[in-house]
Amino acid sequence: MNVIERLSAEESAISYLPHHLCEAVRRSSGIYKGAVSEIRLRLGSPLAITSGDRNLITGAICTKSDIDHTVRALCGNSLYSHSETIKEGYICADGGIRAGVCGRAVTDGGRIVAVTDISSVCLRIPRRVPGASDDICRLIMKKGFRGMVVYSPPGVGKTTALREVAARMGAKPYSLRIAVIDTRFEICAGLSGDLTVDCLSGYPRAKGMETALRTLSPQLIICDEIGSREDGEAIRESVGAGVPFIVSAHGDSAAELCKRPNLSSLFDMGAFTYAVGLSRSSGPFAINVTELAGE
Amino acid sequence: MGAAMLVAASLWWGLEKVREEERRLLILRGLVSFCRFVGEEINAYRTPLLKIFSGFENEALFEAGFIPLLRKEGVALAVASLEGMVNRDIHRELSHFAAELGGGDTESQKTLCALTLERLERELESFGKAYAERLRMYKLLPLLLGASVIILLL
Repeated sequence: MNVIERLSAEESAISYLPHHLCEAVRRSSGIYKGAVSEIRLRLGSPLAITSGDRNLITGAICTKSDIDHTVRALCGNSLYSHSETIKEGYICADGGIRAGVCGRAVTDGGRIVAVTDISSVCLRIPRRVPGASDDICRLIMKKGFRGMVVYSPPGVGKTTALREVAARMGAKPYSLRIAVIDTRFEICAGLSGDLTVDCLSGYPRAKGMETALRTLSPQLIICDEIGSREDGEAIRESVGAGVPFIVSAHGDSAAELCKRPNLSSLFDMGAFTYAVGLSRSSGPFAINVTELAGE
Repeated sequence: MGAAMLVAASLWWGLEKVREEERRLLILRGLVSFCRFVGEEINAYRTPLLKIFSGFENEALFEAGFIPLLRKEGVALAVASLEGMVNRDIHRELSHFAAELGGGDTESQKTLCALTLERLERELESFGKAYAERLRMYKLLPLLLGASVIILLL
C-alpha cells in the first residue's frame, strides 16, 4: 500500500466519524498523516489516535450520539447485517476497515445474544507492507514445508503479514492456489490484482477449511486468529489432506503457544514446520523463526 | 360550441382523474413489493440497505421519483417525496418505517417489515375496492355533466 492508498484508507476511516470528530482527527493527526493505524472513540472521553506505538489524545469529547452515528455509518445504516459480528466484538466496514466495538452484553446461559449501549469503538485502518512477507514466503517454499503459525501480541501485524503472504504467493512467479478463510473480512479486503486467491469471506473457520479442501483444491490455506477448540479440530482433520496451513494466533512466544491445549495437539502432531513470531523491534516486521520438530 | 367545450373539458378532467387513480394504485402496489422485497432480503441474506435499494426495481416508483431518491439520498427522503401520492396515514406509517429501517437487529427489522407490509396490503385491498367505483364515477361524471349542460342549453 503506497502513501496515497494509505491516505485514502485513512480518509475512508475518518469518513465514518461525525463531522466534528473528522475535523479533530484531521487537525490532530498532522504529523502522523498516512501513518495512523487506529482511531478510538470512548463514550465521554476524548477521541484518540494511534500511530505505531504512540497514542495521541485529541480535544474532541465523544458523545453517545457520536458513537451511535459512527456505528450506524460503519454498518451502512444496516445494523441487522452486522449484528452477528457485533456480538463477536467487531464490525467490518467497506474498504477493509475493521472496528472493534464493546458495550453492554446481553447474555443468555453464558452466550452473548446482543450487545447494546456501545460505548467504545476502535477503527483499525488496514495497511499493506509490500516486501514484509519475503522471509515468510521463503520459508513456505522450502522443501518439506507442512505449515506455519504466525504469532504476536495484538496489533503488531499478524493480519497484515497474512495478507502480504496471500498477495505474494498468489501472484507470479509463485501463483499458488490459495484459499483464504477470511472469517472477519479483514484479509481479502486489501487484496486485488491478478491473484490466484480464493476468498472464503465470512465463513466460520472450520466450515471454511472444510469447504476449501472439498471444493477448491488449494495448495495453501491461510487462516487468521485460530485459538478455539473447533479451529484446532478443523485443522487437525485437514492436516491429513496434505495441504499446508498458515495460521495466526495471539501469543508472545512459540513456547507459550505450545502450552495452549487447542494448539499444543497441533504442534504435537507436526502440523507446523515453523512458528514465526512478529515484533516491531526493528521496522514494521521483525520476524523470529522457530523451526519445529517434525512428525 | 360552449357545451362541446364543457363536455371536452369535463372528459379531460375525468381522464386525468382516472390516470391519477391508476398511478396511485401502481405506487401503492410498488410500495407493497418494495416492503416485501426489503423484508425478504433482510430475512434471507441480511443484505445491507444500500444493496437492497440498488437491487429493487419498480416502474411506477421509478417514475414517481421514489427509486432515484432512494438510491441517492436514502429511504427517509424517498418516502418524504411520496407526500400527496399516498394517503396521510400510509405516509405516516412509511415515515415511521423509514426512520426505523436499519436501526435494529434482524428480528426487529423483520417485524418492522412485516407490520408495514400488512398495513400496506390492507390499504391496497381497500383502495382496490374503492378504485373500481371511483373509476366509474370519474368516467361517468363528465358525461353526466356534459349531458346536463346540453339539456339545459336545449
